Amino acid sequence: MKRFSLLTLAAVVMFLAVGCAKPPEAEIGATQAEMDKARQAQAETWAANEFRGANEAMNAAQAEITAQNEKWFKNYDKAKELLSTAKADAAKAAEAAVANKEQAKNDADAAMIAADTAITTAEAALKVAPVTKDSKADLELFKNDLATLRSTLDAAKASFGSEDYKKALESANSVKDQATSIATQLEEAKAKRSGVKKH
Amino acid sequence: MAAGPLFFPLLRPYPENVPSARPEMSTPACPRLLLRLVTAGLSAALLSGCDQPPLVQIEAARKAMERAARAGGVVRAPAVCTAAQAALALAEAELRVQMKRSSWSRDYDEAAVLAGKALEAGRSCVAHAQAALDYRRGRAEAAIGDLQGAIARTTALARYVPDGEGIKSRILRASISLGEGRASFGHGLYERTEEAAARGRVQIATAVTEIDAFIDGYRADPRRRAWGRWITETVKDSRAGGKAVIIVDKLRRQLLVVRGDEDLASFEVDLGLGGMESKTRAGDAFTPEGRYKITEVRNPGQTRYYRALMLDYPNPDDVARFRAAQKAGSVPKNGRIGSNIEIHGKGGRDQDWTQGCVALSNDDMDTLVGLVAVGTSVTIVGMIPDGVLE
Repeated sequence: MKRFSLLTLAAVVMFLAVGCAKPPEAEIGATQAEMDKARQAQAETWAANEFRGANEAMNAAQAEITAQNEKWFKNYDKAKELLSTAKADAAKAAEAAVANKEQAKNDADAAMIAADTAITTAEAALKVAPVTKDSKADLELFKNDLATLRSTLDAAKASFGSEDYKKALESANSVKDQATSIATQLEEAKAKRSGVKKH
Repeated sequence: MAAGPLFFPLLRPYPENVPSARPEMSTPACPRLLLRLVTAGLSAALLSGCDQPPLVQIEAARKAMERAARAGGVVRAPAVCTAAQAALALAEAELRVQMKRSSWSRDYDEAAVLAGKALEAGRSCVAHAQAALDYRRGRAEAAIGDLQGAIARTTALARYVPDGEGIKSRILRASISLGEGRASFGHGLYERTEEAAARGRVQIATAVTEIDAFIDGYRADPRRRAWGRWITETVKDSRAGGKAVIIVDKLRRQLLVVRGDEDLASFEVDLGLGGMESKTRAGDAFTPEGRYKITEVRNPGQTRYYRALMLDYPNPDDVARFRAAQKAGSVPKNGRIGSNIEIHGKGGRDQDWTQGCVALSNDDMDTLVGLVAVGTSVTIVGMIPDGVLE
């Protein structure tokens, strides 16, 4: 009888412990806070992969919580684990976003300086390019191209000011490459123009 | 533990005061106890033999972390590799805890799980670190390539600026930074490579700005009106007489041969090493500016500069300028105005080296001499202003 009472008591306690398990509200709140921090750090832009991982873990946790809520005997252990993973991933995403954004800013800045140098180099090369009657049209074209590149670089600087560092970097690199190409073409034309004109 | 429940029958005392329900079936206590002991012993031996420490996995995880360390793991992929280090530490700690226990109470299940996670994290750390390393190597290589190209282009431009402007020293410093960058790259120090390249780029950016500023300043020189007028007059004379004339553009290091509105030839030239000023006196190593004529053609054997076209420097304007400089005190009273200004060979050195003459390569001199003659007009200007030669 005594044994039967003990067994019954144990069963009731177990039933109450498992059946009355509550959703991990505290963990959900803490994870959401980390996700929000990651969003504030613009992790969706600057640490997209890491943020996607955190988001997926969060979604999986929420799906698990929903599934457990439907059950008689609820067990939120797996959900807690998923929330813990999501929280850690969100923190990593926030950290990565800050670092990546700073790197992108530095890269864009360096690229714009390099682009400016490339344009100035090409402009100087244009000013000392040999003048002949037949070179006038070509030199005029290069002059217009360099003016366009200056405008593009100004637009890149505007993007930089708006913290669109990826766009600023892409534009600046393109400007640098095109300006370098013009300088190279001027150098090659100089060599070709030397000598007697062929009529 | 799986073997645990088997011990309970051994631990529970056999109830000697409880009569057997089927006395005819009761077996002696001793053989039953012996059977249980043997069964338990065999089970324990079997189970302890199956529960092995996850040493292979942990060793693999350690080797992965070593590979990651060689690729600069914690520096290049800090989040992933720090987590991998932590996972390995956890697995090793759990292993140590279990190994300290008696052999019959060890349980390596948790250690095996942790070792598996540590191995997976270690492999991820290696992959991330290697990817980051490859990325940095690419950046460093591009940075060195960019700087090398920029130095070459700037060196070519520096040719148009007189020495002593500090530009050549900037180019030299940029070249030193390039060397440092290459050395760092060779040692796999890619961040240092980029830093060295960045230092070089700063020098080049300043040098290019200074070159461009000099060129702009020269192009705005008040003498450009006189230069434009001389060229216009020279071309007009050429058009009228149908004869070839020579125009030397000092800034562009260019010698043009034109006949009326027709371009006959264009050559690169080297000038006086004194700089871009106009010659005033003997020994100043400036190339003079003004309108001159060829007075004599010297062929191989008649000049130490292969071939030469002698000019009638000083012209009346040169004499007037010399006198004015003497009066102003910038030229000593016993100073000489200079002479023997020529267009000659042994040039093509891509630098200004003469004492004021205009030098061409020997091949170009061969061509030039065929286009001109004694009496050909030679107009030397600082630069041909925009729109003058249309």
